[in-house]
Amino acid sequence: MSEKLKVAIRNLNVHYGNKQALFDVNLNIMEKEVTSLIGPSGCGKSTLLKCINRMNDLVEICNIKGQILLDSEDINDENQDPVLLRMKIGMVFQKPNPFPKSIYDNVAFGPKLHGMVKSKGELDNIVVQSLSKSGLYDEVKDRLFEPGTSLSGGQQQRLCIARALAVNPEILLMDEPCSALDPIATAKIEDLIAELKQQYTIVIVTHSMQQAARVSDRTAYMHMGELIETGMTKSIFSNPQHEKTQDYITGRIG
Amino acid sequence: MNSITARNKSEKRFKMYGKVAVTVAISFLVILLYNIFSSGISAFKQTYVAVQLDIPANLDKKTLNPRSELNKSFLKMFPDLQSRAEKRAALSLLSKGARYEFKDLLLNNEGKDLKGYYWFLASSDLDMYIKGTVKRQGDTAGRIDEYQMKLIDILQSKNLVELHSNKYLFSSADSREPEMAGIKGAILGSLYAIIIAFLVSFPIAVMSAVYLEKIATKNRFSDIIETNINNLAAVPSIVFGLLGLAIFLNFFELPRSAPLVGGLTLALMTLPTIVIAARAAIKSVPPSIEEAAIGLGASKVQTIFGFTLPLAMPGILTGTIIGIAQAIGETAPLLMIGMVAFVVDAPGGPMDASTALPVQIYLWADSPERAFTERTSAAIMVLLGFLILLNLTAIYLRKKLEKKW
Amino acid sequence: MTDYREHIVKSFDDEISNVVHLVTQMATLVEEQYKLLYHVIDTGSPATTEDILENEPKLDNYDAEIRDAVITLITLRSPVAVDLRDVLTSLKISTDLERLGDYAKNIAMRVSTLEEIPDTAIKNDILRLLNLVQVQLKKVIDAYVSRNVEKAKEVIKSDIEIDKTYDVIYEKIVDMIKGKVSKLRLLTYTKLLFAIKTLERAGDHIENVAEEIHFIVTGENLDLKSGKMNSDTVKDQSE
Repeated sequence: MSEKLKVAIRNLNVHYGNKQALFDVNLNIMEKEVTSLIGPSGCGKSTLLKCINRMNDLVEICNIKGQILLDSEDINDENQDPVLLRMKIGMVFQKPNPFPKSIYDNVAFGPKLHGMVKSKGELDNIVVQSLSKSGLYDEVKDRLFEPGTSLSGGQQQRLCIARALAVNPEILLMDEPCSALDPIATAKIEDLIAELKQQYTIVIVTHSMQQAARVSDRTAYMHMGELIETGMTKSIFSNPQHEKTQDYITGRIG
Repeated sequence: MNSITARNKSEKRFKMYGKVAVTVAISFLVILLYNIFSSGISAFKQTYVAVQLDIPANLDKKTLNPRSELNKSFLKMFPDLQSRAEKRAALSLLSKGARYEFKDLLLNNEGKDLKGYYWFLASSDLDMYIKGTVKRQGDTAGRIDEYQMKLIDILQSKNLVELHSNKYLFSSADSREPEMAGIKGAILGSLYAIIIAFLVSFPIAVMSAVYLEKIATKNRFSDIIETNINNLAAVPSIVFGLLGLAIFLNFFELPRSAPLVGGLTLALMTLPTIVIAARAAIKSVPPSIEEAAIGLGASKVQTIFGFTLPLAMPGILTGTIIGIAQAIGETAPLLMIGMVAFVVDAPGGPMDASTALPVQIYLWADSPERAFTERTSAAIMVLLGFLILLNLTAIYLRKKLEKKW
Repeated sequence: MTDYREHIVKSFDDEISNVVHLVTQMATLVEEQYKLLYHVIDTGSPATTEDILENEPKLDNYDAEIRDAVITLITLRSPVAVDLRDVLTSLKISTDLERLGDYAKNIAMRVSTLEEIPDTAIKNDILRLLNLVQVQLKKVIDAYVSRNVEKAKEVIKSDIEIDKTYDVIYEKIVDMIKGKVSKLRLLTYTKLLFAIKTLERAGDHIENVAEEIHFIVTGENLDLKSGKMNSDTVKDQSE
């Protein structure tokens, strides 16, 4: 864990049409740490996550005000290319969504798309490395050309992680990555996160407080679009400062 | 307890209604198909008369008149004939096309003797009698008088009248003589028109659907466009015919009755159908795949052509084939742009005047001659055959493409 | 508990209430033991000592019940923050209460087998000390039930009274021993010394409970008082 600031979110206000989703959010994401965003449904954690890699650009009625600085550069600046940004920031979604292609092609898609490799050998290398990093290689090395959809749910999610890692990002965004998985698959992914954080900065949105407690270094609690409290995970869960935070984590919010 | 038995009874009744409805529908279908089939099947066979020929190989072909030569040979078979009327009656048993067959026979057998019996096309009146469509009543049968009947009996007793497969049906275009009439011209005309319609409407429709679904901003204007496209699919086809008439024939001055114009008009007609099917198919592609692609840094266009369109292809193709199948059977717009003319030759290319299959059916159905009845049914069978083939292709394609996804 | 909203899952609230209730009941029984002890010191009645002995197993039962309830709650509910502090310290408090009960029993048994009846003056002093302990006990139970941090802090502050009173009585008895006394008398007073030491210890345990109540509510540890530490060490050395 370093103390270097990777992403700085400053005075972020997000509107969907007339409805405001995020109110003046200020948050620091530190490098090579796992930061979790928790909060009840509709509190804006997914919205916040999607702002970081500008996925909200796809939503026409979404209006973003404020700053999001990646390594001190504003990502919403006109000169910034969202394509390059998304190479630096990978995303894993709630429901595993491998492409309807082979396992190999799934992982190779990103590097091929961005012209990161010059030879088939290099591409093979990247595929093997990425699959190894996500702990999937041993399970699929004999069937790299079978369709990605033939894997189990947990394996598919690890495939999606490998796919995201293949473009060599700096940050990994995970939007409730385990909510569609069984406990064993979930545990495997949590173990993976512990390993990955040595190399990548990870931000994870989760509905499970226990998961946030298990995997993250820092936790941020959100409620109705506001960031209520943020701090080291241990403190948040043993002695939170805000009553709202305590109400949520002890199951008192009704 | 009462309500449960009442409910069971009403369920049983409902099931029975369903069965009755299905049975009625199927019986209508069966009756229709039986009608068409039974009257059309006979068109695939044609009556031929065997004529005894005795033509030496060295006969000078240039001075030869095929018609008179053939007539001579035929009349030789009935030495009892005296008067000219009798002779004409006898000769009218042969089709006018027999002379061309004779000519072909001579050409194919240069330097050979033609001795023996050779088959020639019979007239449609004889054909109708032989097939049983026109029934014998005493000594006459329809337009066949007693005298011809006697000759026929003689021919039949000598087995000189037979049904062979009708090669004219698919190899020749329309003709005034039913026995020589075929649907080749109509099939080619329809084929050209459909291919042009597909080549024009498919890309335009798919790109429009992609634009409307994925790229255009959703506002009042795009809503208006959507409503209008949906309405266009319900516009009566004859209106498209008028449109084709006004634009392609009058304004652009393209050749009348050409499959090119027919194709363009049909393209206008199928555009809304394909756009609607394509939009539905594109909408049904799960956004999660697109999100994944964009999350990896693909641009919108890359995502659409790399993922959305391939995944939407089954639906798009199904819609296209249904649209095309509809277009093949359309008569009204083709009538308006003139593909109704009586055209003797099959078209050489899409710019030549031509007719189309549904129009041909319409023309033949209109004709008073009995012989055209069976041919109309035969043409309908061919048209139905195409439609079934197209629909089966749609089903097959959809199954095959769905498996991948 | 009264300050906090209810859990969405009502049975969770019920289970925490159950633990609190058990601890309160155990504390009430301990209070009862000290009341009986007062009577034993005052009259030396063996019957009352019997009563105290009969209640002992009940206290052990409470201890076991509380332990089981807390383990179940932690296993099934995964409590965090205030809920976790609540149940874990309730467990610690029950241990303190069990000690307190033990002390009452020990003192009662010692006093009821004294060789001689002690001086009225000394007896009154000891009763005074016991009263102080009883007052502290009552206050701390109130503080626990109502989660009152202020009351807990008072208990912590007042412990010094018990220490001082203990010191005074200790000096008195030591003085008596220093003078010419019979063997029996010596034995009696030595036993009394143990008794008052135990009472002082009882006061310390009550102070512990008060600290734990503070932790439940605030989540923070109270600073140990350096003065208290020294006086304890001095006492230990001289015994």
